[in-house]
Amino acid sequence: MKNSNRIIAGIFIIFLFLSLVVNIVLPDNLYSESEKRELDQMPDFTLDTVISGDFTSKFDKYASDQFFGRDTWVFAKGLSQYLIGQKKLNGVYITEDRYIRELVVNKERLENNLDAILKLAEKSGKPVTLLVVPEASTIYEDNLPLGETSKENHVIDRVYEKLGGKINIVYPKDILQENKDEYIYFNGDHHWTMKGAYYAYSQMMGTDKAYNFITVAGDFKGTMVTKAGVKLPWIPLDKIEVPEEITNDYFAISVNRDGSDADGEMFYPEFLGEFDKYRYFQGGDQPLMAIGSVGKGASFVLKDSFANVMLPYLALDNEVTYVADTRYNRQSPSEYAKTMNVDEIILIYSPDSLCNEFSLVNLGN
Amino acid sequence: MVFSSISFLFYFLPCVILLYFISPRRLRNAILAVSSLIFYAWGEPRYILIMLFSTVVDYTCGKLIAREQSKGKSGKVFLIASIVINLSVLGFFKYYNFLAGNIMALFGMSNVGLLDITLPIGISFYTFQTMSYTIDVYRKNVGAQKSIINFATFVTLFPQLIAGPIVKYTDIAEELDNENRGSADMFSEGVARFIAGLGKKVLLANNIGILWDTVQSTPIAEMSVLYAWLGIIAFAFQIYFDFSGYSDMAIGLGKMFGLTFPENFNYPYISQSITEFWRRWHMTLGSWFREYVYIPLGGNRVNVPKHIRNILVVWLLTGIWHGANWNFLLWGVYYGVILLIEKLFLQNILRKLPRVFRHVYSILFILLGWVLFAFEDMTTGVAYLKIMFGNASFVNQKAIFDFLSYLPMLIILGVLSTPIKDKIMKIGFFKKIAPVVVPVMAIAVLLLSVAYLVESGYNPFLYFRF
Repeated sequence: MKNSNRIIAGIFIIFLFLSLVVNIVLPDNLYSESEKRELDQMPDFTLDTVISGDFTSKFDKYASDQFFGRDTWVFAKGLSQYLIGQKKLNGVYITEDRYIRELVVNKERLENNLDAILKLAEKSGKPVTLLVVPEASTIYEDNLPLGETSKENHVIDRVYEKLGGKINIVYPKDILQENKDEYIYFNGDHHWTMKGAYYAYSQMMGTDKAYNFITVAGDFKGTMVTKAGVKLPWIPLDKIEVPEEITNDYFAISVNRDGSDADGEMFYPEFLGEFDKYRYFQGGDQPLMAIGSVGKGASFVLKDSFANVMLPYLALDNEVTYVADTRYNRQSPSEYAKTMNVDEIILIYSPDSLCNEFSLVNLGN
Repeated sequence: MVFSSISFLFYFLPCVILLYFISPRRLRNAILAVSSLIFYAWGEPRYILIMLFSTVVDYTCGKLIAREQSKGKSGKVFLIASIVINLSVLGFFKYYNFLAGNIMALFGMSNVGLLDITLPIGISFYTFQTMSYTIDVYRKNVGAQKSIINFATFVTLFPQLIAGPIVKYTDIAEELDNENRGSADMFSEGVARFIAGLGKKVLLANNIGILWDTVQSTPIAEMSVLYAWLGIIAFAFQIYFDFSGYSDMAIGLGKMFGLTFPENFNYPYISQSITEFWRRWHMTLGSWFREYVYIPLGGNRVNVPKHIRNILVVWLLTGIWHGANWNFLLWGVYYGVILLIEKLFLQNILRKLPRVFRHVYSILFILLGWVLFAFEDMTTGVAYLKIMFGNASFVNQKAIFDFLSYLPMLIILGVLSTPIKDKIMKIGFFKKIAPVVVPVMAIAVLLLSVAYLVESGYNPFLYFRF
């Protein structure tokens, strides 16, 4: 016992002092790619910050954020939790072959958001379509751990009860479930793929236009993998697949940020080399876009990020498609729809956004 | 500062160890005292003054008592002064708002007299420790400490400062004055003990704590009977592994600096009666109350009514020591009453029953006790109890999912709550492989704990209240 204690103590002391030195010597990082957030920095050391306790609380965060090999430690923690039987880490189910976001239903916010949608329909006087993009937890409900179900039913019930007959509701659960063995949702990201969006689009528009999907990038580590904190080696990284037939040549896009216009694209190949490859589509969420294309008529799309893979199909059908995101754009959607004289308003949201995105109340402005 | 943090483990501790061991022996207590002040000031710079005040008061009272006694007098005045000052400080910071709030509620007044005070960390622990000093000097159990540095080291000593064990001055008086204390073996033993405690707190308590948090925050309508039992079992494990892990870390750190602290836990959940439970749970608190309250009141060497009074007084105090709230008071009285019943007749009956029954009986009442303890809002606590006894569906999906998710963890916790591993280590084969396996396990626990601390989204600390 004495000897093994000495070995333990020896390693402990070496580890402590080595870590101290390494942590001091290694330069601090500003940003964590894998966690998608800015890391805490060394706080100011002054008499005031020390007495108020500000220094110490910030130092604690700094010390863990800047600990050497942070990503490896985070992985070790996640893996150990998974191995001890935790099948849901940080709101993400880790199933046999995919990471699935848990839907948390905020009933009160859901009601407020649905009310806002009703208001939008009344105030704009335009035909409104709501496309509810099923959560991966609904399509792959069989994969969830024993005892867990998707909580989407409640959301859909409320959507039909409240909005049925007043607006057009599209809920492509069945067609997606029929094709669930295809690559219609990412394994490691909460979004659906452009192929998933295609099935929804074909149901919505009643077309069966065929597309040839090609892979433009692999090695996409989705948000759910990061959120769970553990990348299991047997669940492959994702790839980005798009229809060969749809290219940037079909679109002329103007992006409005903070009141000034700039040219945009439908697809951004430069993001395929970056961490967040989902930004390949329109460069990520934009506050306001006007997409010109080869079809007829004008639509106004209000949406969350699930719509980004749907927009290429929709925009092709219109002469102009206006796209707004309530998170970054506070102006009244009904006023905008009237000003732009659009033919219809299309809302594209996941149940998660309907339940948890507080900015959706602005739809009723 | 808490032990289970990167700041402590990878900045504070290596610096203190380095300074302590390169300094000449006569300066080491001073190094410990100064580091302890920094440790304390880390979270609450302002309240350091209260601790220093307490140190000076009790040091002076101790000296004055000794001086009076050397003149043949009793020195009682200074003992009373010390006790009154200590209890007033504790009373003001811990109980003022509770008392004022209740008095005003009684007279139907709004909360006008409440003060914006936060509880100084560890005040319940260190006031008890300093009081033990003056009482023991008065009782001539120990001589007065001559060096204010050594005394300040005792009061502020960071290993046991904020969550015990409650170290009486007599426990470490000799070691404190001995400049040649400690050895490489004692240091190594301390490190091993510290790592074990760190693992208990970070890997076990925090993880099962997540389950308790989940259950606790579940709306009543979504509860089931089994889910409520699962929740309170999770809480029972959390509080044991959290508290005993913290004590292990404290005892280990003490050993690293050549100080032997008393043990605080001895597998409480294997108890065969509630009386036994309290001999195994938070032992230093129990022995403090026994020595400084129960026995001075006459203990059990008085007539039955007085004996009953003594038990109830001790348990009322034990309850309220845990927090200024009705639920803690009730929790204390709950145990006082059970212990009385056991003393009066139940233990005689229990003794004749099978072991299994005694164990189930003990666990059941311990768990019910934890419900009282866990819910500061007693209406919620009562609603929770009702669910445990059938006021909900028997089982629901949530209960199945969480039970399955935590089953391996619950098994590990159950096994580690018993001395099975100590018995296994005595078997020949395991004894042989121990020199390799034990260090490997310890290092694995250390590294995994660090992984949890680095990703420290969830590292609550249960004992700030005490």
